[in-house]
Parts: sequence; C-alpha cells; structure tokens
Amino acid sequence: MSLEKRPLTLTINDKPVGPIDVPVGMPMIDFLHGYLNLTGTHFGCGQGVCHACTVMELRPDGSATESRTCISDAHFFNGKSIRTIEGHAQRDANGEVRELTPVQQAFIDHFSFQCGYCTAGFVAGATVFIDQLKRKPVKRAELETAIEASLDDHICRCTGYVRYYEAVKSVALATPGCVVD
Amino acid sequence: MRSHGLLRKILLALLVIIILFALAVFFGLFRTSSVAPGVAQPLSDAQMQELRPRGRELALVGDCFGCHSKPQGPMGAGGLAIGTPFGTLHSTNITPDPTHGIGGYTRADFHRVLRDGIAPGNRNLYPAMPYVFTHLTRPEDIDALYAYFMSLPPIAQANVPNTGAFRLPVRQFMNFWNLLNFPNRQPPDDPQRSAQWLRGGYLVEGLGHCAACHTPQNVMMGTDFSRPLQGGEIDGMRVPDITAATLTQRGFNVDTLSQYLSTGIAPQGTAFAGMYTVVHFSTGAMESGDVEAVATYLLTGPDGKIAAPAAPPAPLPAATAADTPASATTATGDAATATAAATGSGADLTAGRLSYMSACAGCHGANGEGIPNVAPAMKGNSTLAMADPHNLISVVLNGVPTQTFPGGQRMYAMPGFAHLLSDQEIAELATWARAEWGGQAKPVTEAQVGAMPRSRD
Repeated sequence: MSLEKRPLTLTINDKPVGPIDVPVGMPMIDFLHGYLNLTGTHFGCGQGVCHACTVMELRPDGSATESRTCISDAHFFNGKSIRTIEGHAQRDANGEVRELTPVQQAFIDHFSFQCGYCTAGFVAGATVFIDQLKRKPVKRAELETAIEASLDDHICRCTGYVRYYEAVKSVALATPGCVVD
Repeated sequence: MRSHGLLRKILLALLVIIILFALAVFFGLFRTSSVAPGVAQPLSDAQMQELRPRGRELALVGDCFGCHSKPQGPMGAGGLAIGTPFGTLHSTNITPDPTHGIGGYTRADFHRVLRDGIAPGNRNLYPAMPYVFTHLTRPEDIDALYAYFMSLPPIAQANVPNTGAFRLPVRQFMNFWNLLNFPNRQPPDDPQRSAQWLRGGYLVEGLGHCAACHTPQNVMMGTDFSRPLQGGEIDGMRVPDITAATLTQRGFNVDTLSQYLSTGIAPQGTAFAGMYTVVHFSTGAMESGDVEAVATYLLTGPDGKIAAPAAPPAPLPAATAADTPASATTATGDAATATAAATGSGADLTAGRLSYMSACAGCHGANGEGIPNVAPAMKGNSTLAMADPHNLISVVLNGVPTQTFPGGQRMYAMPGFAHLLSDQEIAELATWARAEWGGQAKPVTEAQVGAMPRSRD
C-alpha cells in the first residue's frame, strides 16, 4: 500500500515552502524534522499535552497564536504561515544568529531552562503572550496571573516555571505598551 | 333583550366560577399532600444514625450536590445559578445550618419538600427542584435522606436571591403548573420483573430524575411523560434518547452502560456537558449494585427483555466510495452512488476526510481509535450516531475542557475549532465522520454550522 500524498504549500519563518508532496496523516513535527531539517521543535508527549512542540502561527491579520505540531497534520497548515524556533532570532547573511529576541534573551538572562527540551515551546508561547499584551495590555497587578494563565499549559519537567515566568514578566515590563497602571 | 340579559347572567356566573376556581388553585385548595402519615413524630438519634449510610447513597443517586453546590464551592451550600427564560434561580443551602440551611426542618417538613414540592411556610418550590421525581421516594428512604443531610457539616452561607420574574411574588402560581405537570406517579411495580429491574426503575423514575433532562419538555417546561426518555434539550445541547431500543442500537449492554455511568468512559464515548457533572457527583460515586440496576432498567425493553447490543454502524458506502473512487465501478457501485447522492457529493466527503486527517486524527486517530486518557474514540461513538448533528458540531466549534473521571482517568482538553476551520470545512468534516462512524447519511450543511452558538467572540 502506497502512502496517500497531497501537495502542501505554506510559509515557514517568512520563507515560502512547497508545493511539496506530503503524506496525508503526517504530523507537522515529522514534516519539520524529516523534510526541512528544522529539528529545533521538540517532540514530547505526542498527545498535545506537554506543549513542547508548540510553534507560532502567524495570522493574516498580524496576530499570532500557538499551534501544537505533534497533534496537527502537516496539511493542517496548508496555506498558513508559521514561525518555528529557528525563525525567532535575527540572522546574518550566513545564517548565523546576530541577535536573540527579547524573550529568548530574557530566558538566558534568568537561567530559565535546564535541559532545554521544553524551551522552544516556551519561546513560542511567551512570544505569543507578549504580542497579545501589546494588543491588549493588562494591569500591572494582574500581570503575574496573566502570565500563569497564558503559559499554564506548557510543561517543564525540570520545573523551571518560576524562572520562565520571571523572565516573561521582565520582558512585559520592559516592553512599552504591555502593562498599564 | 331578555335573552341578552340571561346570556349576560350566564356569562357572569361562568366568569365567577372560573375566578373562584383559579383562586382555589392559587391558594392550594387542590393541592393534596402525599406525605406519609406518622412523619410528625421525630426520628430518634439511634434511628438517625442507622439511616445515614442509606441516605448518603440516595443523595448520590439524586445528584443533590450537582445543583446544590457551586463548582469549587462548599458541598450543599447552594448558590448555583440556574438560567430560565424568566430569570435566574439559585439553588439553596441544604446543609443543616439553622439560619441559612435546612437545620430548622422537621422530619415532616423534609417529607413535604420531597413528596409535594412545598417548603416550610407553605412555600411552593420552583420545579427546577425535581420534586416531580423525588415525589416517588418511599417514606423510609426520605427518612434516610433526612438523617444524612442533618449529619452534614452546617455551612452558614446565605442563599442568593433569584432574579427576573422570580423577584416577584410568583411562587403560588406554581400551583397552576403543578395541576398540569405534576402527576401522581408511582414507582414501576411490575411483579414479573426482577428485583434489580424494580430497584433500577425506582431510582431512574424517582430520585435519579434521569427524565428531567432525557425527556422532552412541554410548552410549560414540564416533563412530557408521554415521551419518556426519548431525549431532550438543556443548556444548548441535545440530550440523547436513552430508551432501551436506542441504547442497544448504540451498542450498550449492562456492562458497558454501567461502565459509562460509573467511570464516565465507555466504548460509546465519554460523558461531557451536563452528563459530566452527573457522573462526577452522582453515578460515578453510587454503589455498583445501584448503577447496574439503573443500567438494567434502562436497557430492558417493553417486552421485559434486554436486546443484544447492535454492532457499530458500518461505514456508509458513500464514505468508502470517496476513499477509493475506483470502488464505484464494482458491483456495489450503484448502491454507493445512490447513497453518495443522499450523503452529499463524493468531493465533499473527500474534503471532510482530509479535514479530519489534518485537524482531528492526531488525537482521535486515523481510524477513529482515539488515545486512552487523552481523546475519546470516534469509531463507535454515540454522539456521531445521533440523528441530530447538533452536539457534534457544538463540540467541534467550542471544544471540551480537560476532564477528570473516577478512578484517576482523564481526557485532555479539546480546543474549539471555530477559529481554525471554516463553517464549510466543519460541515464537511461532520458529514464525513457521521457517515464513516455514525451510520448517518444526512449531510451537515454550512448553514447549520453557521447557526450554532459559539462559546467565545
């Protein structure tokens, strides 16, 4: 029995991908790993629970949401635009990282992660959260609750939550327009 | 002129009679009490103590705490909002607090509440309290419930006032409602049937008040007892038909239905929406003997027999034909084409299957097998087999929050797809899934999806 394949076209890290024939039923994370060698997105539970495999989905209206790549088929992203962990930092012409995003830098400054397996998902989740704050700021007193509510689904087995949350808090406080008094 | 005068007198007399009759109803003159004699005498401490365990089990059967507690709130302290077209009712404190709860109720008061729907002070209860069903409870069981509730920790939490029309002095108008909607029902007592069936019937028709949700309502929001357990509607969801014929059609037998009631999880799917709280507070905590009795009663047909469960519906030919277009040329081609016409075009089904594969299969499985403790199986799922696709569409649009079930089981949150798939895609997806696993050929239309309520934005 041969695999049923269908053409897939999408945008990944601002670059067009496809059309390329991809099997129906192939999870997005396998497509990223196997077809594009984008291995920074980590496969965790495979059941949509741990959120390690989360990437950003960039909506046509400019907003962003989180998407889990282990439970969604590659074809679920047909015609869409996503950002994987490889597409966050600014790079030079040779592809070398020139500057990390404020979220990435804050995670390093706060020693947020230990083994790092969940980090790609946390970067996606925190970046989406900061983007949402810019659109809809929260009161300073409610910031910590908002961070918890937003990143609650992301599991870190090294239990580095506090340092992740502190890093996100520092980015929110340092980014104009995220927090109101 | 004289005949006109006579007519006027007759009309006037009729009017007076009608008004007198209405006043009589209003003041409860037609309200006969069904409270057993002898309950004026209080129970002794020893009796109260002995009755408690039985009362606890009956309180679980009645799902009393499901409505008389707020989520995360203290058990039995009331305050849960119950929306009606006329305003919001709030469940009351049923802990034995003397000021805010039922601490001041005598044994006779308590009997009157459960048998007649009348609280102390001659106050009519609103039928949100299922006294139409608790009415069937035997006096000795009401005593047991009384003993149990009086043993709960009293909680000094004030009742929340009702809103809307219920702020007005309208309680007594329930006497009219009762006259039309509160028949003097008795527990099933067919001597030919087993003790288990009789026990199940007593619980289902009485305290368990299954029919309060699973039976259609009449225009007065009363239970239509002429269509028992044929399915209803509550909180924007279609409540499934649970007649014996339908349950066996869905593949239930006593084992699997008991498993569903005790754990919330069965091959036919997992409890969600209102039934999830019923499993949580009631059926999941009941004694296994009572659960099996309920399952036995529900599955027993009018002939007194439990029919063999039906096999899960085979994929409709249209669904198969859409998978492999070549099969349209086989001997079954004509039938397949005919069903394809009834189900919607093959192209729609192909699109629906691809949407399922890309958006759903990651958790629910390429073959609808699901993942234990993460996502329920779609193959054999009774929600897909309902003639009305309402609940299926609602879940696809709005998702289901993470659920925990008895025995440490769980199902992980399903996201709503209202913003991830178009109405057209959801319609195609639902059409295909129903044809593939539910035996339902009727296509779901884009307009049907568009008309559905959405939980956010």
